[in-house]
Amino acid sequence: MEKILNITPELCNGCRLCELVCALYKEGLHKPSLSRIRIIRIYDKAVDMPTVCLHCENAICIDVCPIGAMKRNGETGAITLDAELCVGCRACMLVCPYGAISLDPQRRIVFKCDLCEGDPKCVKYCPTKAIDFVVADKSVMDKRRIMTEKITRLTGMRG
Amino acid sequence: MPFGWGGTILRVDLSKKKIVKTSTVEYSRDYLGGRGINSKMLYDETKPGMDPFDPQSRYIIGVGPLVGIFPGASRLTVTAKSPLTGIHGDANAGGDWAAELKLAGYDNIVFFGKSDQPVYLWIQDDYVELRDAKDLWGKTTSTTGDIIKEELRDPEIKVLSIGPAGENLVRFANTVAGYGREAGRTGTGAVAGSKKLKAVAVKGTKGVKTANPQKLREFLDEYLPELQEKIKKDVIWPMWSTHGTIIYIELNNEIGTLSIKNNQLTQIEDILPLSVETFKKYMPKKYACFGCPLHCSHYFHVEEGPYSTSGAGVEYEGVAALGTKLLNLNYPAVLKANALCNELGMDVVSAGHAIAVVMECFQRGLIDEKFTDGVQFEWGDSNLIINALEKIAYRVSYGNILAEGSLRVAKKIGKDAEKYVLQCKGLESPDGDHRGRKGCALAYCVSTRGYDHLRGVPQVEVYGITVEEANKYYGIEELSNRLAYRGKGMVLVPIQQVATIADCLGMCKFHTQWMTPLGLGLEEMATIFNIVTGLNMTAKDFENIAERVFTTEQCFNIREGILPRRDDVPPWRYMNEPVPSGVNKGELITEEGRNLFLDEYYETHNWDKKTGKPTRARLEQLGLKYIADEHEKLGLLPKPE
Amino acid sequence: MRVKVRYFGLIEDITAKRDDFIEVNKDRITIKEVLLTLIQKYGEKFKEAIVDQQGRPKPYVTIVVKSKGVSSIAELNTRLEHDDTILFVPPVGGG
Repeated sequence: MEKILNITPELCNGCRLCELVCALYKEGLHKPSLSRIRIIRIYDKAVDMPTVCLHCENAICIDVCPIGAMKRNGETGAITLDAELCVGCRACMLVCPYGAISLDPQRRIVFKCDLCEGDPKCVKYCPTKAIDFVVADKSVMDKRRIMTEKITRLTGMRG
Repeated sequence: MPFGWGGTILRVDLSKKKIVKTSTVEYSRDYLGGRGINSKMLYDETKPGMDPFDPQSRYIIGVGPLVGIFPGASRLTVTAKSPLTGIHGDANAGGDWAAELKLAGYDNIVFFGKSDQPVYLWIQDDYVELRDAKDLWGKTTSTTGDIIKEELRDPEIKVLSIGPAGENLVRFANTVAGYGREAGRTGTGAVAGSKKLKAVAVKGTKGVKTANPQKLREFLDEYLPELQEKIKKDVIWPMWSTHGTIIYIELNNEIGTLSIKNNQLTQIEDILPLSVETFKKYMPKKYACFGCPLHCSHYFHVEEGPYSTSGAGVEYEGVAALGTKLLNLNYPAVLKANALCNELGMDVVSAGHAIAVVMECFQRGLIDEKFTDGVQFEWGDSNLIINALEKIAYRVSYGNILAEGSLRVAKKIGKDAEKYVLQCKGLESPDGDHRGRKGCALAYCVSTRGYDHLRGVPQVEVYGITVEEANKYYGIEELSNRLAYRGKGMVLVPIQQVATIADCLGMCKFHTQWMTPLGLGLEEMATIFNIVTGLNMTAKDFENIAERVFTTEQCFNIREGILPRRDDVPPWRYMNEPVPSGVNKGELITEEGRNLFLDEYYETHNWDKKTGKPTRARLEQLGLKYIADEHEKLGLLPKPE
Repeated sequence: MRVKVRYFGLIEDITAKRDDFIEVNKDRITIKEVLLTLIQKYGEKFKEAIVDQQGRPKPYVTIVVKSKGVSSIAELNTRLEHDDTILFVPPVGGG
């Protein structure tokens, strides 16, 4: 069954190991600015948020690309960029509501998450599973379970 | 430039407003990076006897070749001649800043001179500029970061700064390297303050190259999952990963090794108010440094009440120094005090000690409210503690006296009050009463920055070792006994080497054998270093570099007037008052034990056994002939046997 | 008689609790006997965390007994009284 990236912000502690390994695996460089996944940290609100392409079902970036460089990988479900075709027009960057697509300042083309051929490294190395790669239904049930526990604790219905 | 390092050391003349870029290569082979290069530069560029607030004094920041590259390597070291102790001073911090500096292409920054107006340094990759900081002067550390990010219009900028305490030359003011990340001890913040240097802001997008990314990937493929497993299996790591170091409050209390009422007591009946269980109420989330799977730190938040506050980075030392040491048994008040120190830019440990000595002197009737502008100093007075911290940071009222540090306060009080300052060479003790752990009590004395655990502890004493193992591996049975002295000085040195190399590389010591036998040793760090840099260092090479750095720091102190055999002494309380309760009841550190320890320790470092000073032969062996020549001229070399 | 047992760290993770009570129908009991009872209760993982192959406490576990408010390091053959507390304490290093 198809898996999706699932993010649980409460588990993220801002370690940015995901940024380190993503750039290392995808670019062979230690350069978090080339990482596909970035952590947004708002320190005084204790917020650490993993942000990455979530591979929309109806991808605007695919629609808007003038030369068909954005494609859907049938196996992993990932939206991948064909670097050979990309001309760096950045229309995809313009339309992506999450800012999930970045510009590579050296190569002058865009780059984005491609789910590492179905074995995402950020997931593999996240110490807390704040980012996970799971079957869609499981991620939903997990969230409902967490909500249930929160609610029952609040109303003191714990047995 | 070889791989791993950024390649450039910045030299910033704050008087002439000149910035010069120099190459790291001049230092990296012999001193590696981070603390190693910092200590070398401090030694070479400080005139003996110089006032730390002299315009020509140095304020040096260094990261390390593994920073920004390897998980757990997120650390920077800030080095300066300490305004608190007058000897070598440095402090270490984690977070995001060190990685950002490396990603901008730099390894170390040396500041000297003094600006007439407040300034901050702005680094964006190759672009470096000194900017006007008059709108930042007087602001707390978080606000400083916020204003800079707004002014330069980039929330991803990382800011290192001092707070009002540093600006006001509080002798134990710290350097804050990010939210809840403090390079705490020895008063480096005051040195920056004396130069009117408010902050260093960095944005780094250059990235850093490693020699063999493929090999590094393969290494990490094995290392990271293994580390995750070890973190679960080890004896200390799981606690830190889940609870952080604050669990030591209740652990120490159970066995009677907590510093309460300035170590007059070592345990209390009810520790629940300062237990992890209580802390959990105020802990929304864990908080990690760059690239670290151990994530030992926390955010904290107190919603309501007189002590409502928020912040990050509360550690056992903070809860102890501002809590149990002062009998302040109110977690929200402790958190508020901790947050204040972070925002005002002050070392929690030294601040706690400054207040503690006044409280104890009040208790003993050595002083009264006349000393403190009419204010009573009583153990456990949470409001007083919070007010005192503000007064200290702004040098207002009695705060002006306490800002001088606990030892100077005691000297001012006179009447033997110095007995009640738990310090060695001017730096006060971290928490934990070690009268019942002889090796640790003495290991702290020989740290090159004063009484301190971070230079190294005899690991076998902390983790324990059986009689069989002690005999098998060391031939010294006493190593299995925490109340014995023999062997402890000898086994300390390898751990000091591990800690020193970790500080040179920018690796967090929690990942190393300084912390646990499962951690990285010299061998493993050399392996990682070689993969990253493509060089070919052995554990022995690292041992030599560690000895070179450590010896340089020792020589700095000797040049400032330290006589190791005379001055490597545990606090008076440890040698004169027996532990009142707990498993170590009745224990003391003896002079005989101290001397036995120092004999072994100095010998293991190959220094002169009698005085603890490095000999000419040893200095030359380490490539420090220039120090030997200088010390000879100054009459400081130990007399040959 | 009844004794209290308190776990920290790694051992606390295994037992899933901080405090425990052991009741026995005897006047005296040694630490060793309490340990055997606990090993029966918590199994191999617990045993491995506390003792080595020869049945001696691992060097990094400090067994402390608190009797009538006085704490002391304990041996396996230390005798316990009613209401004593046994603590299994992990290494306390610096931080």
